[in-house]
Amino acid sequence: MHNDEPSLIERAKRYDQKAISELYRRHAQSIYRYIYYRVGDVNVAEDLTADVFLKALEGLEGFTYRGIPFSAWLYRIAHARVMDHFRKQARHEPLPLDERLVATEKGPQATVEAKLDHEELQSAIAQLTIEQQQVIVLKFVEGLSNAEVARIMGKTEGSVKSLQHRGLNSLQRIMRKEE
Amino acid sequence: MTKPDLEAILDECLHCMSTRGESIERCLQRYPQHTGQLTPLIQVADHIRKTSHPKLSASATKAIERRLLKRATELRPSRAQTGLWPFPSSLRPLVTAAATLTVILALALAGGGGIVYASTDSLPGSPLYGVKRATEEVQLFLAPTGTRRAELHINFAQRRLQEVQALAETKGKVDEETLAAIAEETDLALEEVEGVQPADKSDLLEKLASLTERQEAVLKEVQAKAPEAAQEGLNRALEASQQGHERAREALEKEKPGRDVKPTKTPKPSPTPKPAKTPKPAHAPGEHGQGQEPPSAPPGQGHGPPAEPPGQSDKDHGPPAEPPGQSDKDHGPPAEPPGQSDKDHGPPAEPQGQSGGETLHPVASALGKFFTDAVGLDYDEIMGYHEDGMGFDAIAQACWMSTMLEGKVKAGDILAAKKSGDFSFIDPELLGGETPTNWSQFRKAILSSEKVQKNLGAIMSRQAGTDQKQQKVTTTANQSQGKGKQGQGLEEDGTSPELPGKGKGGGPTAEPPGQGKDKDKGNDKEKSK
Repeated sequence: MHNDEPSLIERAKRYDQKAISELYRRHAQSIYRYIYYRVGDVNVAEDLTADVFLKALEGLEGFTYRGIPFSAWLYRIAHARVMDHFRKQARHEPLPLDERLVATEKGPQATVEAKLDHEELQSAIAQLTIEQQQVIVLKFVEGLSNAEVARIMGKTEGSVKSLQHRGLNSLQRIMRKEE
Repeated sequence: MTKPDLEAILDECLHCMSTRGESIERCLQRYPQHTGQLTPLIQVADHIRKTSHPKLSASATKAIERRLLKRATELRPSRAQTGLWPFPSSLRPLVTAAATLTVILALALAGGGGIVYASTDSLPGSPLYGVKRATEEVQLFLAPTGTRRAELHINFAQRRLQEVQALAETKGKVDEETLAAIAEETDLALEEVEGVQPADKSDLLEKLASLTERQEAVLKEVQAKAPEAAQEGLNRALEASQQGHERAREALEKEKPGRDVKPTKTPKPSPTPKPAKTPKPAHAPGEHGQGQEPPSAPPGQGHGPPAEPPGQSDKDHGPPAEPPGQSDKDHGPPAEPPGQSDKDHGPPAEPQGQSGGETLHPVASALGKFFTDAVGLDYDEIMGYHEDGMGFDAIAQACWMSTMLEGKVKAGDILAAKKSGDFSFIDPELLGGETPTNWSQFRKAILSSEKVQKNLGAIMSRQAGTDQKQQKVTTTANQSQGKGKQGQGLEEDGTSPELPGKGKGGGPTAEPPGQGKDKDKGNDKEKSK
């Protein structure tokens, strides 16, 4: 976190435009990536990113630092917006992959070629459970620590490790299947 | 090898690769028996890290920013036009600061005042509710340990639940923000519990398991009679309670493996009492935190001007509720004690003698930030007094008293006098002509002094003035104050409220930190620099 973030937030609470712009520019890309990998559509991701920051602005006056960083707060709002989007799309949480995937013939040591671009990666991530998606994106796209992810998701670090293991396991099976 | 072990090994390898730049092979050398299982997983993680991730386009970035700034412009006047915030928007920080100071003064000087007492039973939407929430913030602010903070969050979660129930029963209304606050306080309690001493952990977790179970029962009761519009919010609150319950039970199971932690021992199956009938004072015994004195002033003995409900309009115009997890931390209290907002963020913007990276005591840090300029006590000295056995409440009281005496008696000297019982060195004229013989008399003399009362008003105005300046709104409020009032306001970094005793504009000269009993500490501080 930037050292000046608390004072920027205080200024933003008074609708200081420079502070609002600065906060937005610092976090816009992260929030956009997080949303994009969840919804898989550039236009929707842009709309939802705008929603997140508008919501944050409207709720900023009540935001206080109590052990949760501003970015974590934004991720929470982003997750909420994504879930709203899914609800509106009448989608449902995917079934656990164990129930959907067909076992492949490939051995466990088969390598995953680094050929997927982010669209293919998104398509693979979208097949994970909601929580696995969150963990995978926050940890490996955004580079957050287990503790940070746990805080954003309201889970223990143990749960995050477990979701990480299951998520990676599912992803490598999906990727092998798609090869 | 169990699954959790494999999860831990995978995590360790991923961590080593991302933080130390180790290769997959090197990581797995330590666990050759798992190479087959872990290699593809680590490769996937590595692949994701190396993928070129999408970016928000420049045009979209600007378009969103424009929308954001436009909305900010719309929001700015709307707060003042709501009619529920009874002051012009430019006065909002002023009134909030005054209210916060009132709460702090009531707690610090009298152990609770009439306003605080009267606010105890208030419900969301009532004029005193803001004071109630601000009082809670001060309690948290003064809580010396994680255990105490966890207990307070548990208490506050219980209060929010009572409020939801009372509002539903008396007004047929479901307040979204209070609902969200139940989850927020529960969540904060769970977070605090993670860091407390093992001896306290089980008890706290049992309380939490019991609390969350109770939440579910009460919320279901409320939901049964709630209108359709409130159902979604209640569902979210219920979900959050269930998650909280699960987390508490999981943690309890870890603390006491093999033990049946099903919350069968819920201590109180009785219905949640309605806040409106609760006759207790604002703070239960011990609720001020360790090392603090019990309230000594009777309810009704408030000091300073009446508090306006800080952030009251927030309560009525809070942001829309978010789905589970989102609102957890959004809606903080209506007002914060000075420096409070920084307490979770390491060193303050303007370090006061403490080395960077060192974990600071949040209360001492906040007190230091607030009082350094006013009375010359900084973080190191405050911690020194605390380590000498002084509670933070006593230190805060001494700082306020020194402030009200315009710095003519140093906070350090007041603390030394408290310890020794010798107040004879204080000019009796400052205290209405009499020399106190004990702490209680000294405090009474201070509070009843006409001069002090006058100063108190000046302090309040000046503190308000600092917020005005911070807001870059021109104010003439300071000009009407007495001596030592020129130049008040926050520094550019907004961290140093200036109070009597050490005005930047040349107010009464305060001795350097470390005067009186703390000379050595002052030296230590110099050394540390």
